Amino acid sequence: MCELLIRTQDKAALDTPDAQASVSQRGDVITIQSDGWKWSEAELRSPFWTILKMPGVDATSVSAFVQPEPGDPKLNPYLRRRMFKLDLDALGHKADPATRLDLKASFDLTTTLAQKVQRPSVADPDVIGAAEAGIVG
Amino acid sequence: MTTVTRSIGTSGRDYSTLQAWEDARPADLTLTRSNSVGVGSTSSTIVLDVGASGTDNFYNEHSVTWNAQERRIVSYVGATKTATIGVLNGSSATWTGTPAALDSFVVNANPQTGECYNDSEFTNTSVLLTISGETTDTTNFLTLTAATGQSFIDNVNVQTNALTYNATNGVGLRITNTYANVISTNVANTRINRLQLSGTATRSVCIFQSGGSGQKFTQNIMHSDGETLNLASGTTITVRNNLMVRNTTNTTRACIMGYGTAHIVDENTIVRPTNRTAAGTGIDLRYITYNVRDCLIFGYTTPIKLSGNGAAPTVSNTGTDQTVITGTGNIGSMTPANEIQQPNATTGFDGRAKSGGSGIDAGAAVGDAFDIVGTTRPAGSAYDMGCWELVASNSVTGTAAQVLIKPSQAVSAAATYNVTASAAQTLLLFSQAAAAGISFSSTIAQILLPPTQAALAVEAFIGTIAQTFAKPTQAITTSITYNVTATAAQTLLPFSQALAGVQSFSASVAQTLLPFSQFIASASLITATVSQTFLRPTQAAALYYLGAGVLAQRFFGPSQAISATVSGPALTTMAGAQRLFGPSQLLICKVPALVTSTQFFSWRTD
Repeated sequence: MCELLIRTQDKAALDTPDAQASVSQRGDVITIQSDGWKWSEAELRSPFWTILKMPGVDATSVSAFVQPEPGDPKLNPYLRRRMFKLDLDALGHKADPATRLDLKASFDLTTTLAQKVQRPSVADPDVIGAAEAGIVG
Repeated sequence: MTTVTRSIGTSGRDYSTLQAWEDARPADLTLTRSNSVGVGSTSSTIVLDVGASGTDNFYNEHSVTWNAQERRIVSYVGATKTATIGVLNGSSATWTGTPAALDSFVVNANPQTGECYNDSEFTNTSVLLTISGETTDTTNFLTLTAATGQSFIDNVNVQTNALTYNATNGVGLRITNTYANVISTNVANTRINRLQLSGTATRSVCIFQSGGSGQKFTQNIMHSDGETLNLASGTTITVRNNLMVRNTTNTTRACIMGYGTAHIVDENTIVRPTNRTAAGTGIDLRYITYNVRDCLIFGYTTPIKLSGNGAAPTVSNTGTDQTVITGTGNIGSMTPANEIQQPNATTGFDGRAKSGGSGIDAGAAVGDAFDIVGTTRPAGSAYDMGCWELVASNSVTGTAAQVLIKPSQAVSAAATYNVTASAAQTLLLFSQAAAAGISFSSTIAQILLPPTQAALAVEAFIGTIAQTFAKPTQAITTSITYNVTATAAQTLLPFSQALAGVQSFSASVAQTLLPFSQFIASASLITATVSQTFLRPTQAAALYYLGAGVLAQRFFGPSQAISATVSGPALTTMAGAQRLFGPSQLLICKVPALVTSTQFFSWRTD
């Protein structure tokens, strides 16, 4: 019983920790709305979004897609805006910067959750070693 | 600098959700680019210079100016440097003409405003809106607000409505899950105002400021179980003219809680309703120095954390129901029932100030010169404590930097309201019926907002530089002469409905004239000079239509029937870069002396 508005293109260049953490990226779920939601023209036509329809799937089943990376922003200013993304390529959505490409089919919960990908944490440039593999903490 | 204003709501708005609006904002609001047009532009695109960004959609939602025309960039292809343009705040969606190679263009930095419409309540289980990732400065920032006429502030009964969360009164944002935020933002300079926010499940937060500085949260109604406002960090955050209510037994959180530096907390009413036992802390800001001024704080045994954990507030003109706080003008041992209309939430909370309260006229002239609903401060001898300024009469006078707001309800008969204001003032006159003469005048940088309903007698407006006129939006029933004279940098917004008599408008450079969107029963005459836009009636024009223009003008004729003579002698005087758009439907009269021009089209002569 839900429809997902999904970012299909990175919103900005992702060459800084700030951007990596806070700017929406390809595969990020922007918002989850109920079945039959009356999307606006911009939401239906903008080339950087697509809509995934999941008829019969309860929104709470996919609510993790709109959750931020958990943590205290006072301690870590680089918490990701979205902890999980959808692998759009695996769902048959190709990246095309100029044209709106809509997903050609609706998907069930199992198919969708199979393409749920956890984003790695953004390394805090002020913490020495945080970017190193195998460093804990 | 043009604010890019986009609508949010569920009835044909630009965006149906708050998060889509935010996601579509530019990554850098301060970005500008000025250069020469490339090859291949069309009436709906502009090709930027070869040095422009190669990132797709990089300039989206910025405005772009070419040939004195400003449009919004809808999409951008980095490989070809081609920006597709669209409507900017009511402009045409296309260029008048086609940008030629080597013409100049400017991609502008813009403030970005999301205007919410109360088509329905904005609800979600968890967070409704996360604002993050945008670069701003103090002039190019994000604002989330209610559109004109959509806020609880705009409700015709605003003076008599209970001051509490009620989405039927205006735009409301509400979440239902526990441990969630209605709005979260870490973007500097963000402004949130004129909204109602509710998160009353366990530990929900109305606004979570997770980073950034300089944000302003003003004129909001906020109800929460956790914090109404949580400030994670930052400097000089302004919290002003808000009603902040926690109808909860939760004592571990505070109404305003957090960290940062030099925050400003003015003119707020901060309440735990009296159906709950007083407990906990009202304002708990740690490790910072900040100011609390003109607030009312009820229902918290520690109204403000004054020490410990590095708290160092300066408190003045603030009233509480607890022991008086050290500082200038503070009042203690107040009785909430004597200060606000209804402090008990089980019987209908109402945070408006109450006549006779000890907080009336006990504030200082700090913060904004208006209250949560726009009422001018002071209405009495001095500012009232809290978010609500009690209005005792219709008489209003003001000086510099004030806002004058006249009665929002019926003025019955034979009353003359004379409002005189000077620089940097706003005059908000009657929002309901004004039955008698109204006159007012203004000078520089003023805004005149006359009655929004029936005006039955004479009114006149006279304005000079940098003024905005917004005329009545409903019926004018008797013989009235509307003389609106404007000069540079003005906007004239006349009647949006029926006008039965003669009207005239004149304007000069850089003005916009938006005449009637419906019925014009008589003659209308519009003249203009450079860089003007005329938007003619979209419905019936029963007499004649005359337009004369020069460079860089556009005329949009009626989109429906014209039943009489269409006279266009001045059409032949048009010069380059003009466009005439005739009726898009029936034209049943003659069109004399049509010029032969590729720039003149769309007329039907049947």
